[in-house]
Amino acid sequence: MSRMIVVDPAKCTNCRMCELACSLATTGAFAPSRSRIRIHAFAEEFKYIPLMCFQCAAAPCAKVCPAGALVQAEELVRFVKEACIGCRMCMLACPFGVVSFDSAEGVIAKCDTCSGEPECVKFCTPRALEFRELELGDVPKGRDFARRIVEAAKG
Amino acid sequence: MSQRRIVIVGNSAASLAALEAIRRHDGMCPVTLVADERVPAYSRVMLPYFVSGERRDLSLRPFDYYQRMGVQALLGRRAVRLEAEALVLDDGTALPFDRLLIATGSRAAVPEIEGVHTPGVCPLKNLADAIRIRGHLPGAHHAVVLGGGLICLLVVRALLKVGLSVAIVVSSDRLLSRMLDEEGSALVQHRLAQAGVRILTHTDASRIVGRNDRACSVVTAAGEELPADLVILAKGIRPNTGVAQTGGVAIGRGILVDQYMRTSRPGVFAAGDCAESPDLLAPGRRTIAGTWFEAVSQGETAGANLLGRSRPSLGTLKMNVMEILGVAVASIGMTGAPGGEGGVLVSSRDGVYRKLVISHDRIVGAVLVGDVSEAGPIASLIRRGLTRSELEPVDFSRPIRYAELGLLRGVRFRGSEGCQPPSPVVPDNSQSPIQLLFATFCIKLPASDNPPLRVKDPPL
Repeated sequence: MSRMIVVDPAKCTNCRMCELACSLATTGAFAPSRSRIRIHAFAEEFKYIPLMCFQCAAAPCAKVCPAGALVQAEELVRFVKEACIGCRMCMLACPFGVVSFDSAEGVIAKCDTCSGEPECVKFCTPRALEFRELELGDVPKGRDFARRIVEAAKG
Repeated sequence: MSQRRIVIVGNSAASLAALEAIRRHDGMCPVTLVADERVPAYSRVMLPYFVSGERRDLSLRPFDYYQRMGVQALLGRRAVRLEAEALVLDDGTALPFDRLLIATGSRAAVPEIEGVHTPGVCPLKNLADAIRIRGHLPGAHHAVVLGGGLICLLVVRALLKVGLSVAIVVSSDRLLSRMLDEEGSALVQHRLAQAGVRILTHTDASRIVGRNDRACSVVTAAGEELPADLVILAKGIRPNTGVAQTGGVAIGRGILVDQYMRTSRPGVFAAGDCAESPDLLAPGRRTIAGTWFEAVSQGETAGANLLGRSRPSLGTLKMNVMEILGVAVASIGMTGAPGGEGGVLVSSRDGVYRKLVISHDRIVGAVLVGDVSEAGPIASLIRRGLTRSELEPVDFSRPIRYAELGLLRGVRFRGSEGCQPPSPVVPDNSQSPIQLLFATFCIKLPASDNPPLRVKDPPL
């Protein structure tokens, strides 16, 4: 089974090391604005949610890409940078909004799990990010997490 | 089960999406694909990039694609007549079919003005056009683009790239009048003017003057003569409905289809630019989206329904995105103020413009200029038709983020969620809209003794 970046928002401390590590690995500079992973901070709720490409199994972005730059692979939605024309159709197709645009390069940017060795995970000290195979437990655990949020939201 | 013989006419976005949907469900059924262009599938979206020389290879799929898909591809053949149970090609071959998909796309509208057939006057709709335009580039200095839509701007971008001076002649009061609102258009026009593009609104070309069998200028209705070594026709598209007409299929402006992409004739489907399909935001009405997005989505819907899988689409949602001279522009659904109950939320700062159109407590449209990063989440909210009260307390005046919607509704943020594109999936009425929104985003809980899998084709 495929390995995935598994996110546990409950552990995220908003330190944003992942964004630095990602941008350094992918662009060669410490530029969080160009990071493929973004932490969405909700300060009032004390919630920090790291989001990156989910590597969908039937990815809308790959279906719509008119340049053959996003390719549906078995475990990954592969991004072929040289093919990208910067039309941004994928940004409109992705319901999660996790495809960003790298204006320095004129192409889109999206997580490719660093070809199986994600930098963000290496630098995530609180272990909110893990790169591993999905376990049976992930689903019910996720359910618990969801229920907790819903209950918290109710007050 | 006897196998259905499927024939697909067309070889672009809708056809490929349909073909791939068919092969996801049925690897065996015989499929024949007919297209009038001789070349394998290529990306029409990339044509302007071919004109500017930025891209040479426009192919959309690997070279052995048709073979790998197990498809008989008849390229360079035109379908001429639709008979009772067969499609007749220009060489007289009759292709018998059980299911037919017409995805013949559209052609450029050619205005009836004097000199429109002079060499150097050309639309940009297919590869042949692009090659012709490239042939006219050496020695050309001035270009005039007739029309002010999306294609116009992509062409302008390409022509600027190769160093031509460009003038745009548009009959409406502004550019992108059908894609953006006035403020959005103004931002785009401002940027173009900065780059030295001349924009003539409220006028039209009255004739094209040629010299030595080559275009040399365009005379506008106002009487002005614009130098033009190259004239690009970008005055919209016309659906290719010819084949459908010969078979007695109901035609409006395009081939009329229902939400299953079925035409009036049993067994015959249509998708893409040639189809006039139910509008998501105007129930009871049909529309021709004419976008790459919609072609892919309709093709996929048609593909599933060709196999009898009964997959209706939610409806056609017009949306598009482009970039011109560093300014990203996205438009989704309605862009004007809604009639009746509703309003707009507008913010504008430093060249970044954002407008949400809200009708009856639902987001029904958006215009984004300068920053299009929230376009995807907005489009999926519009498709789902969620009301503001269901999304409480999301603040629509701030950028819409999936994380916030998820936080609100308790969605798991685990990687690897088996995502299905939201568009063609249809509501099961037993679920609330909010469940529907996220149902497609989350992994379906498998039976307890099965390990979680990435959901490839969730049962509906």
